[in-house]
Amino acid sequence: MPDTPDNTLHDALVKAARLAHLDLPGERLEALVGGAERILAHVERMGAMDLEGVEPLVHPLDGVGTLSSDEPGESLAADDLMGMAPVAHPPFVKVPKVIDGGSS
Amino acid sequence: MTGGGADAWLDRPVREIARAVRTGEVLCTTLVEASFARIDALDEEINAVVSLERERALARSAVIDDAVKRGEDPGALAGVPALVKDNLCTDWGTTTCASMMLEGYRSPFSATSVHKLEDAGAVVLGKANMDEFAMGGSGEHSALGVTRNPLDTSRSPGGSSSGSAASVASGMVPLALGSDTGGSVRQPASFCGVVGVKPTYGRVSRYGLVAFASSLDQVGVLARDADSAALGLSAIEGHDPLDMTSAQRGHSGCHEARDVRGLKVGVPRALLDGVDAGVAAGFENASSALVARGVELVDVEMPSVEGAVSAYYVLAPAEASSNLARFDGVRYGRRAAMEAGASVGEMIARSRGEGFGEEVQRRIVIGTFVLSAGYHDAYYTTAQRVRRLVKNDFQRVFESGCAAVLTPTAPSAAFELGSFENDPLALYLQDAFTIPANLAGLPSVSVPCPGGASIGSGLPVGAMLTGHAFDERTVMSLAGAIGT
Repeated sequence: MPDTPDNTLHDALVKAARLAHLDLPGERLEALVGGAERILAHVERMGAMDLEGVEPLVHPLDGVGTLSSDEPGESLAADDLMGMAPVAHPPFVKVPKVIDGGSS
Repeated sequence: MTGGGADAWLDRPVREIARAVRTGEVLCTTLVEASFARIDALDEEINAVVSLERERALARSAVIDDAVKRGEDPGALAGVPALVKDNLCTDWGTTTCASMMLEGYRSPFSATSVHKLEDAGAVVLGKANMDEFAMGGSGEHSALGVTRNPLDTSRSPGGSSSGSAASVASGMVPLALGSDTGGSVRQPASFCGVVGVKPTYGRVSRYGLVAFASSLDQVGVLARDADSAALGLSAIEGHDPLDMTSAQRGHSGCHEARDVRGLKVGVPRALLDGVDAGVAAGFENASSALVARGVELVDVEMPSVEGAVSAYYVLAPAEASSNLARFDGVRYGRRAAMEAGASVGEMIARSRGEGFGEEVQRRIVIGTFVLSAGYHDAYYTTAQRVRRLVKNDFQRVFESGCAAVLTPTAPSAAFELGSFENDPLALYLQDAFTIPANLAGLPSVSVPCPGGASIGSGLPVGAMLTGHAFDERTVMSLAGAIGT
């Protein structure tokens, strides 16, 4: 496994939490990162396997997977879609303001 | 049959229940009422069920009873009460994935597997508890409370299909659907003493299954015996144009057992080191049962399978981190209350920080990390290479003439709740036997080992059979040979 470009694996995982948009209290973040570090230490055992020339397997079964024809079909009704949105003002889905500095 | 007699029907095999409903020997409505009564009596302690739709279920029961009266056949699962895991979308009730993030979420459509189950005559009573977003192997990671093993309520029912397994084991329902990404149908089946089958990747539609790890997820079936599980699987399998990973294959025929005499089954004995004594004893009983039915057991080597857990805990979190990105309080999911002036980015991060539980967050962090620039090749691509080797191991065994591979389902019987509270890695390692079938996309079934309570701790343990792609009929027939 590579040397981490961040100072430590710990720092890299803290950064990953931020990139994953997880706002966590410090103590909870530390517990979570600590667990992830132990799991990744175990995962690194893969590095001891002889993987020279082995083709990565992206999907379990070759030949599974079909493309749909590009034709109009039934879709969800607008009312159904509104019902799925966390906050709606039909016929619009309400989201926080993202322009003018992004304040809501 | 009425009253107490109807209650007894719930303990019969699915084939017998459906026959009795089709012939008018018992009313579907009576069965469903009996099932609700059992849930009411048992679930306060077990917590296998997260929501029930009584009026809907009784209305469907009346439709089935009317059909029988008109001389129509409601289907192979006629009148069988069932529960479905709460990560299968239904256009009735809620679909929460046992997460605060999806509290109160109502799906506008139903999963194809749920449609098919009901098209075959089953009556879905409601939704089963689970580890949040199908992440966890103990039934303890649910925002809707811990599920307890009905055989010993101080112990875990396994997970993540904890409620599906516990509801079948306790007799609440004869049949339940779960999902299996790394063993989430088979391990709880083993812990609860029931049969759990994960089909070949692509055999059952994933449409409407809330995605955890899309290249690994499959909908599976839990029931008390192999024939009942096979009937359930037979009902939900088949090509679905709504799922682009759905295979265009003929029916598996798994509802009719084949003769297993003369079949060769591989046993990777090197993998069995370190399993509990009770598991080893149960496994020997299962092996003997197969031999007694004319199956030849041969030792095989599967050296790469030892890397499967490591590969899985890179690939599954990577896919999860991508799939769960949609739960941001904007597109889907609970939106955090924010103070005036907060940015949309702060709102999203707070929503995800508050809405997801710890286990889900840990996997999202690991997944984001292994996919990030600088680490992708070292972790993600390496794991994909290990996945190839695991698949090759199975391929070699099958090319040597084996119809299936036999292992224990889990290294132990059901453990005490709280055993792995501070050690997620140790809990992950419990998946060592089940994960390889997911990585290779193969059909795999857990069946209780003969001997039951006489083994070790007195708790059931499972034997697991993993077979050729799309040959569910053979693995279910072998499972039936162990279980009869």
